[in-house]
Amino acid sequence: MAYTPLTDTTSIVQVRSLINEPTALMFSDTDILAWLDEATSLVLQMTLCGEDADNTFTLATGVMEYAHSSVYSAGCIKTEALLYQADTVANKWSSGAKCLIKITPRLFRQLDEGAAGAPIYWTEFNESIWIWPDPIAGVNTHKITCLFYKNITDTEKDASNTLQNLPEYMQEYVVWYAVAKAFERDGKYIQARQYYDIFYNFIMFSRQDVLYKPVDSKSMMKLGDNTQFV
Amino acid sequence: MAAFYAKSDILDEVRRIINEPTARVFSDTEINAWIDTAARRISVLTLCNESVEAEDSSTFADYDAEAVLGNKFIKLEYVTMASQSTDDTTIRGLQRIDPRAMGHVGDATIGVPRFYFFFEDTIFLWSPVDKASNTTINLKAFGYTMVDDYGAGASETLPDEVQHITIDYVLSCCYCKDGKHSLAADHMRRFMQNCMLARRDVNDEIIRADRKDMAQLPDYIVSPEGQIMR
Repeated sequence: MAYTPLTDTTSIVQVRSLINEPTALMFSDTDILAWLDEATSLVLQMTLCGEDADNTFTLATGVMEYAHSSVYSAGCIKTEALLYQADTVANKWSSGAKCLIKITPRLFRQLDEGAAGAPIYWTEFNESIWIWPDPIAGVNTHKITCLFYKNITDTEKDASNTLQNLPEYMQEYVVWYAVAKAFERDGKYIQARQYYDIFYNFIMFSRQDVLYKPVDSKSMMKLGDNTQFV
Repeated sequence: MAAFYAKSDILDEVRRIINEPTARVFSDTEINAWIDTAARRISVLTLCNESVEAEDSSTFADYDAEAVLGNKFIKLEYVTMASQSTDDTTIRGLQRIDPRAMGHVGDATIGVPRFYFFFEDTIFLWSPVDKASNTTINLKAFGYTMVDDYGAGASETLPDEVQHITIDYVLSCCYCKDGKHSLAADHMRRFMQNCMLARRDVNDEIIRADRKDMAQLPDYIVSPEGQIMR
């Protein structure tokens, strides 16, 4: 049977099963949903599992700063990389396409490539992306694809099935957070702490897989000559 | 997969430990749902469910550098590319790069890609694909995915050696519902420890290919302490 992503209804059923309250008595569905939504945002923030590569913005001549509100349709926790597409949409990955290099604002005009032209560097501050050098007229129709880690927006938090903003393999963790909240509300603080620990242990366990993005070294692309003890 | 532990075996074992041979407090439906959840958690935490996805040439257009995968991979281990769809003599392993290296390594000329990185279910390739010169392209992604459920008899989704770990997760859920929270936390701790021990070696910094000298008889062996073993 194929896995069905959790919905508000099915996740509430799972929580009620664990707290042994099949129908609402002490805990309403609204209470449980609030805890599930809170957990969704927590998981997105703590593991950065909400990867998004679908946001693109167009460069404008002489414009260095691009506000998050104009770039991102989802909430952005952190931008990972910006991919510069050096041509029209039809040939967006043609020669000249590259990933921009992240710098700090103190390096503006301190680096050799100071003249306006195709972007080389970027930085992020105060919910804005800054591109350096200034885009010139010849590149003002070119686009930047953003690789970033998203959070849920206010609208998504109030909408149905908020936890579907999580990857499928992370969704079921939120149930344990809601269980912990229920026991805390019931005055069972020690038990609540145990289930908080379960939730956080699951998150930390998965976090490493999500955050650790290894690269292959040149030596890994061939058979090594000698065995070495490390 | 052979029925080392069928789903019914897990159910029987759980009922044996909670001393409820027939459904009274816990229904079979409830316990089976927890077994399925446990199977999904095990596959995510141990990365025991290997999957290979192939993307053929219909996925790519000229100058394309993105391949959106259908499977929800937790983590990718390898990516290969062949310039022919059925004959794998052209198959080549791609080298994983950091997104920042896109456009800065290798040849920017379109052709058959040699590098890749993975973000939001998408493989980004470098250099971009030259579809005109390579009309049949086959990309294969090797990685780890979440199982859908435990699986029916003789079709268990987990490898034999991790199936028993399911029991601790289900017991934890049972004790949680029954108000025995210390026991619940205990079994969940044991579940996570077992997952940690059963976790596949997926650390990419460890060179997993054999070195050339392993296929030869050594003249002598040097211990890690630097002593020659005669």
